[in-house]
Amino acid sequence: MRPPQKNFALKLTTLIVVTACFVVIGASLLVSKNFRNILTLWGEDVQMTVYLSSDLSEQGRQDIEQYLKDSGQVSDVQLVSQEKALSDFRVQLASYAPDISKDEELLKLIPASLQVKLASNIPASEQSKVLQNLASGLKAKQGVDDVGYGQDWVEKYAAFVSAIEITLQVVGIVIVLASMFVMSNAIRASVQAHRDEIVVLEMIGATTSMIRKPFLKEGALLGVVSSTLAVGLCYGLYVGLKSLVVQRLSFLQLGEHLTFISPVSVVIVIIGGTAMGALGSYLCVRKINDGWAASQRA
Amino acid sequence: MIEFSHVYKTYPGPVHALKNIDLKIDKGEFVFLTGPSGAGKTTLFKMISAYDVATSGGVNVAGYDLAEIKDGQIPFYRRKIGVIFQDFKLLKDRTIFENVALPLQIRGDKTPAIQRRVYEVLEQVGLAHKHDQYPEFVSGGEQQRTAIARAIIHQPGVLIADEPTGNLDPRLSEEIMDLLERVCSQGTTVFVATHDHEMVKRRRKRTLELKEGMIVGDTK
Ligand SMILES: Nc1ncnc2c1ncn2[C@@H]1O[C@H](COP(=O)(O)OP(=O)(O)OP(=O)(O)O)[C@@H](O)[C@H]1O
Ligand SMILES: [Mg+2]
Repeated sequence: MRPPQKNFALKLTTLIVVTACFVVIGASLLVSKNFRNILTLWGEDVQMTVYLSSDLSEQGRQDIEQYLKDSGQVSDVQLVSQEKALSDFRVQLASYAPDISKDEELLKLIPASLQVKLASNIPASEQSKVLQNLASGLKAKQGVDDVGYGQDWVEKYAAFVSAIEITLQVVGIVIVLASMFVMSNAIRASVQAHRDEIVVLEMIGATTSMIRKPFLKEGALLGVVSSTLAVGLCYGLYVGLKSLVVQRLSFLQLGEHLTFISPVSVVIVIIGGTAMGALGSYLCVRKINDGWAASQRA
Repeated sequence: MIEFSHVYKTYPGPVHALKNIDLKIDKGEFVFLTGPSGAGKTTLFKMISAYDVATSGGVNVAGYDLAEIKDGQIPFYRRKIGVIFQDFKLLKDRTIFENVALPLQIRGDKTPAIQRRVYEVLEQVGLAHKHDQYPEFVSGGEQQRTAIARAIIHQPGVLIADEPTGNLDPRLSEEIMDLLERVCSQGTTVFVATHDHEMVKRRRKRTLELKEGMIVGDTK
């Protein structure tokens, strides 16, 4: 007759707790990553309009375009000629004020412009600064009348983005610390359950590394299983939420921009989880050295 | 085999658990250690089994200088001695066979050799027929005999037993003492701490008496 496996319940609990911790960590990584994706996506609409004076030569315009390209912060420059600006303007205004669209004098006032798109590798929080620098450089140039980029909106957006990033980082650190605390307690409890065994092994002359080895193995196994489970659960969560966003919030058009953590990150998470499990167990199995506790009277 | 010279042990407090202990036990001797509760019996055994070090003085057991022993050497020293406790300290989730085999496994013996030796020792303590039982399902006397089998399987030079019969009734206690005497007769030095004065008197063995950390009597 084998005595009931009391440790089974404890092992299962440890596995569940540790897996839950990894899920929480993974989910927060996922949320913050996709949040950043979305913020960058929204930030991509940031454009700058460079209004050119009417007497600017072809050469002068090319110089300005070259200046923008040389800055390395610009992905696209489109010329909107006076004629194009005019026809756009006519189309837009025709229905509201058909009279104005025929006023040739007024139309002469509409300048040609360059539509400038910022490079996509510039983080949202930097856009405002980059635009400011570009604008002041351009204004000093001959043939540039004015530069417009919705200064107000861009600045507010940048501030919003950095606030979000700081929040995500703080929340992330809190979650990781809390999970590590919960995890180390779970591992300590399971090591504590083997206390009697450690006492006996010490007494009959097992070396520290002999005593630790099974705990290292068990901790590593716990780490592999729980982090793999957690990645799987996170993936399920991700697929579910994505389909929800695609179906219910289709107007946001975010579906194709939501991504799962990269395969490399998955491998890092699993290896890190394994190492954490092994290290946690290793640190919990210190010398107990009280084989005589039972013969001691209080 | 066991030699103490001018050993003092002081715990924070300060509690003077051992004071100027001088003793010498030869190879193959059987010695009782008696004394009231708190006299220092367990403290003395802790010194012998390298669970604690003397505050001052020299402790020498089985050729090891325990005042100087390094942490890394302690496991190897413990493989040269055997220890028995009042509460047996058996592993509940292993059979009697598995419990007894532990010291040989740790030493790295081969399985066939372990099997042979385990059955030999279980025969010696009269437990061969219970080899596949779990400790919880055998009597207290049988549990202590399992613990003794585990303590002698590697043929240690020294066997120390701290109140090995404390949890057993008088008849079982006699059985266990008989067994320990037999172990001694095969050449192992046996050192037994006990409260049982009647039994000590009957057995007519060398007896050391401790009181307040000092040796106040030695029948040698
Ligand atoms: N780790 C310790 N820290 C402080 N004091 C201790 C410690 N271990 C033992 N003592 C003290 O040392 C003295 C001797 O204790 P010890 O356990 O050796 O007595 P004992 O003879 O084994 O008693 P008993 O018959 O009750 O088992 C006691 O006063 C005890 O309180
Ligand atoms: Mg004691």
